[in-house]
Amino acid sequence: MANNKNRRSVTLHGRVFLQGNIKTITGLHIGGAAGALEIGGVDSPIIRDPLTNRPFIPGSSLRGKMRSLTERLHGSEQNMRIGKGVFVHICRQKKMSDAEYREMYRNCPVCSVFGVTGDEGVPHPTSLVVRDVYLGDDSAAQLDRAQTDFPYSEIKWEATIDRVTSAAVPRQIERVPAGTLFEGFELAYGIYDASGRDHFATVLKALQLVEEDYLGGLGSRGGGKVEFQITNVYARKGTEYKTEKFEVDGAQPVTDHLVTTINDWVKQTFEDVGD
Amino acid sequence: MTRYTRVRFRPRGQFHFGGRGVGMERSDVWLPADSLFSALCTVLADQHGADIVEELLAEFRGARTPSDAPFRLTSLMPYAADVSFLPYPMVGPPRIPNATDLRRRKQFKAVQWVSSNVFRALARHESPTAALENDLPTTIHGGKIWLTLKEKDGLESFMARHPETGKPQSPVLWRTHLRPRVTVDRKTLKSAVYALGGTAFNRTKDSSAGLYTVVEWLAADESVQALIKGAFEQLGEVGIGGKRSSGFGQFVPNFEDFVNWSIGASDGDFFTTFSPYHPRPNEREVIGPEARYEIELRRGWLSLSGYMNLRRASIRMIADGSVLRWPSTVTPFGDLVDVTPKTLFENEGPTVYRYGLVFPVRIANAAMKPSDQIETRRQLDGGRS
Ligand SMILES: [Zn+2]
Repeated sequence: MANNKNRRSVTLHGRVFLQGNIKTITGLHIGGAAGALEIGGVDSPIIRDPLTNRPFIPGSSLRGKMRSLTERLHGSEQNMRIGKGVFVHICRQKKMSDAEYREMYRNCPVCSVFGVTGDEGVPHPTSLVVRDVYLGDDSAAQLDRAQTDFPYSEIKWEATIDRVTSAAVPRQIERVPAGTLFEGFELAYGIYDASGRDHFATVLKALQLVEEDYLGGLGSRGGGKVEFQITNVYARKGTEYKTEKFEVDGAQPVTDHLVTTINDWVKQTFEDVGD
Repeated sequence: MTRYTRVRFRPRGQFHFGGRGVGMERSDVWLPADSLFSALCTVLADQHGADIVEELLAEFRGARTPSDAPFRLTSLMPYAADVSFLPYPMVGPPRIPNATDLRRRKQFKAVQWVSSNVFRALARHESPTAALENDLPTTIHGGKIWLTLKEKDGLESFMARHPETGKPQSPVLWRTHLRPRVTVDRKTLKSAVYALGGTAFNRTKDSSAGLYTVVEWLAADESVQALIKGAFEQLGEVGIGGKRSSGFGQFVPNFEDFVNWSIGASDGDFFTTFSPYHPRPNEREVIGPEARYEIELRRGWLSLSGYMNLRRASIRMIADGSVLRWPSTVTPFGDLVDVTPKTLFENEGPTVYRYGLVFPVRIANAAMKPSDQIETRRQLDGGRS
């Protein structure tokens, strides 16, 4: 709530919403709290909704994966230290003027879409919001009937090799079975300027990258493969915040064709957005 | 005429209300009115430009009496189905025989939230019998929430079941939990792990628990009311609290307009506040004799285009639920406080304000008068130490 003398030039022109489901193609393991060290607990539990006990896909996990794959795709420089030996990308560099930084940020598909870590001053608020995705009721009922090892999950035994003794150490890993449907997947993307509008392609590309890669752990051993099904795409724009729909026929996979048509539609819908 | 609007936030995920960095693992179940107000201003500026916010703030600052201000609002407080909760006002236990028993008084002391029915009884000094079980408060959430027996029964659908026996236990309205988070270095694949606290509200097929605020429209005309309601809608989409870009803090707002919110006493020399309150200099009398209050330090960070690590100047405010004296000469009002960080001030940057308007509700004098029995106990308390 700043009473601003140097006017903030940024204005929200609208938001694009993308909704759908996420289907697991192979077993999914997104790690939960290590509170399961009690007797009978698994070595590596999954994250669960604290109230319903159902597994869910945290928006942060999905978003983090989208971001890191986008950084890798663009070869973004890993230049900010956030932990011991851990670096992430930010556009700000030493000896950079504010104007240079702003320009760099606006053109960076990573920063302008995913924002920055920490407290860097930025030209506009973070564009992309990714919600938690919950297990659908039908899938929950199905898993109930299937009587899995744990509520809505199965246990996978893995042998890891002790590097010193070369002995195999058995380990239990909990995962959501293949074929499970998580419903209510939603992305919201704020459009603040023309470059932001044009970066919407990054978001769709990131979903394709996640499909080609994996979510959560076990990725190197074939786990975590997911498929997105897009059911709804719409925009809300202008001061009246009117809704405009993009027609999706049922539940669509994120094909190149869909990506192109959605991109075109976003560009058209926000045609009048200037710099 | 719409005088009040209750805005219920039906959660679309979890919330993170708490610290940044150190303290990240904490998450509260409420959000003070000043933070809510700042969040509304931010979305207004995003959607309509900074000028709108400047105009609005000028109206607040220019107001000489509460009725000149556009509106005021309460902190975000929890609700479940159709039961709304309010802070337990610092009036002490009710004047009933059991509450004078030291061991039993502890059970009143543990209460943090009361239902609006219990609040009304306490504020008006009416008998709270409907809210007692064997003369002790009917509580859920380990004694932290006090409600009526009927209200408790109404929350049956939020009942937790024992994991092994399946037997119904007490209703669970929310839970805070730790979420492990990891940041991975893209080159070395080294990872840094940290824990993030989240508040999850319970939900059933047709109802949910969540958070609500009550807005009292003072001088706001219909266009301002529509603007603020629009800001709540926007806020629902971007979220409130921390970690918003990961989907924390999003909600669907539901608006209920009404003319009267009769929650307190009709007269009395005391009041409680449902928002952190920063009294104006001429309102000092509020912390006069018999006032019972807590002072909280409000501080925090500020994100502003072009600046790094801006820490707001910290200020002290009177906490929600405090019971204060209604001044004899002025109406309690409160203030917008200048919390502009030093760096901004030195660079002639924008002025930053923090909301500190009171949301006053009258408390009957009888609710405040210590009874003889309580006096006796107080002596006993003294004797023990
Ligand atoms: Zn960048």
